[in-house]
Amino acid sequence: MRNLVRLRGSASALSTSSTSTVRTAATSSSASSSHTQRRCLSSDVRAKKIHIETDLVYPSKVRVAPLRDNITDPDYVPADRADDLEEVGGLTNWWEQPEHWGNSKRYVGFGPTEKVRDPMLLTVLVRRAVIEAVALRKFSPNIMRPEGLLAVTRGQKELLNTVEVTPIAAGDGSVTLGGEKGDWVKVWAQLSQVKRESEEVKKGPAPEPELTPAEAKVLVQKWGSEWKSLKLLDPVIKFYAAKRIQRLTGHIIPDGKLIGIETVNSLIAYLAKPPKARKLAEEIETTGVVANLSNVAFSPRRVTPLDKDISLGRWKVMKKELEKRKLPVLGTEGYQKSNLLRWAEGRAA
Amino acid sequence: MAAKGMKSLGEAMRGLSLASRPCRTLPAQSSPLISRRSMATEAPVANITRSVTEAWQPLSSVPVTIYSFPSLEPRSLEAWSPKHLHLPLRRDILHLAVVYEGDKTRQGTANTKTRREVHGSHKKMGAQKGSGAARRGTRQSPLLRGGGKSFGPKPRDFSTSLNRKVYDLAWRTALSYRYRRGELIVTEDGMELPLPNDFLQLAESGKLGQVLEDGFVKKYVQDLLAAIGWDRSNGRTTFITGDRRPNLFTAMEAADADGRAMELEDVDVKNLLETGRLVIERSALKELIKKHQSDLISRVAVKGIYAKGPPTGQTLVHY
Repeated sequence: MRNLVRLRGSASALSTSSTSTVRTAATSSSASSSHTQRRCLSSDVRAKKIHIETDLVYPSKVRVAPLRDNITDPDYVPADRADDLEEVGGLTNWWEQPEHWGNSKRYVGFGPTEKVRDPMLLTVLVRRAVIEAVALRKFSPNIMRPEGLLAVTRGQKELLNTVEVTPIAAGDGSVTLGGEKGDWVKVWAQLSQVKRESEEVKKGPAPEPELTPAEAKVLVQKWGSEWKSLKLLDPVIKFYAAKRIQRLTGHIIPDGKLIGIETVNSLIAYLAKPPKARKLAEEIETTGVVANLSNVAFSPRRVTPLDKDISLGRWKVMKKELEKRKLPVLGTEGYQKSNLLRWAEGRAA
Repeated sequence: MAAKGMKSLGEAMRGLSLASRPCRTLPAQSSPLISRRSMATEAPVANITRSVTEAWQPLSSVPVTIYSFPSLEPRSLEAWSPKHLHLPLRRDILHLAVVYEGDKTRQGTANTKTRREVHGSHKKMGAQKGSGAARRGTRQSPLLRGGGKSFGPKPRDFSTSLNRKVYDLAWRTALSYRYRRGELIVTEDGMELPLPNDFLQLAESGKLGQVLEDGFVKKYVQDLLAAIGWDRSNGRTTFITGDRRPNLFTAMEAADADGRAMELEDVDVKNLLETGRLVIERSALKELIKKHQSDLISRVAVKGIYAKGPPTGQTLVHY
């Protein structure tokens, strides 16, 4: 991926219709090259036919028929039926085919693609994030570039080493470390190890947590609930914790919501809250309110006459009879009600 | 019940006393005690009053996380004034602003011809009497087909006025509304959509052609927005930048079902309220606040000093 690549042909490039085009600047290896230099390079690319490494699959040879106005042949007769043509179709949906689209084009964000939803797993990861945020808050003024520290997740061993440190309350009830001698050192040692990691690990996708919900539950029960009442007052600690949580769980906590989160407990509650159902039917199904009622049937959509026929077992017979008479099975297919019927109903004109 | 009985008795005794004290300190007793109903079945009144021991402490600043785009890595943290980004929701002010903008953008070019403007002779069309038909004057009469229009529309300016301080408050109220709901995403300056290298090389070497190039950019940005959760099914996204960014703007024009990209000068209050979320670069947000804080700053100098208003964005953490 490259930053600040300019698409030439500004406003009208894609706005008009599918016949418009995106024109791209050349992609030279030297980012500092000027616009004119880029143009020169682009012609080099075209002239030398250099090999381009890509996982995109594109048609090797596209023969485009000339437009009718451009044809000079006097014997040309335009086709009036598509059946006579050798090939019909274009490239409009070319990229919709999964085999044409490259795997490397998938979005890689700062957090994992799939959000962690299990409450126990979230609790463990929040504990890790808070502990590391407190440590980073204390030590970050001493280091030059702390940005990479919150990006690397490392393995299960590091996770367990960090979360076994017990956060305690400072004088104002806010979260801090130092319950046992050496807690600060222990956490910082875990964190600062990542400085040696390569840039690719830091930039790459976040791995899935190497902990099962059952293992997480055991840990959470061992810790009790006292640590959850610790306060999160410092906005910088909250920022570090939110960043770490985003990296570990995929949850982005917006600033507007972060203001209201004042304890570890409220942070866990915010993350563990299941996403809001998009439809009422989904909510009814997940909460299961009607499942226990024997006299209530639930359908996620309108119950149509067809549904009733299917439930009675009548539909198979009806369908068979309609097909036998070559009548449309669903809908009217242009047939109108007979005039006799309309006369009988007294509605005929 | 015993306690309640004692309380009632106390009230009765106090009511009988004729102590000399001002009227306003006397207990208000609207009905005789005997007619009051028993309180046994009454639901307890919730303690809705605030404890006076805890003084209300308004927020002195609100945090704003600056993200990188499109990875959405939190890059820095800033403290902003609540007067900029944490105002209470005022629907009335937002309504005023949206109506004001709507009025201002009305074209107002509807035009009809009056009887004086319709072409033709003003000769009387027939005799006043004796034809057996209705009396008719000129053929421009509004009563006749092809005649002029009485009281028809004429080009005019529909714009209404709104006090500048109210309009500016509406801007910040709209931004605050987005902020509180977690729908304001601030990115680093120079927000642009990075396109993959191999695609750019293929496009440059002319191997793809315009249909494939357009299709690629569209699918690429659609996939990206869907992965972040900013696409059509999540209410679309408005990107706001200081000036036109070629990749981002052309891509969003291709994938217009999933959102749009706007330059700062094209944005108005209605646009801030429209889509599912706003993604705005830091400098654009700063400029926007700076332009719309007339109710916070003063144009009157006191002892040579102007009231500058709260600062826009103080960096707390920066990488």
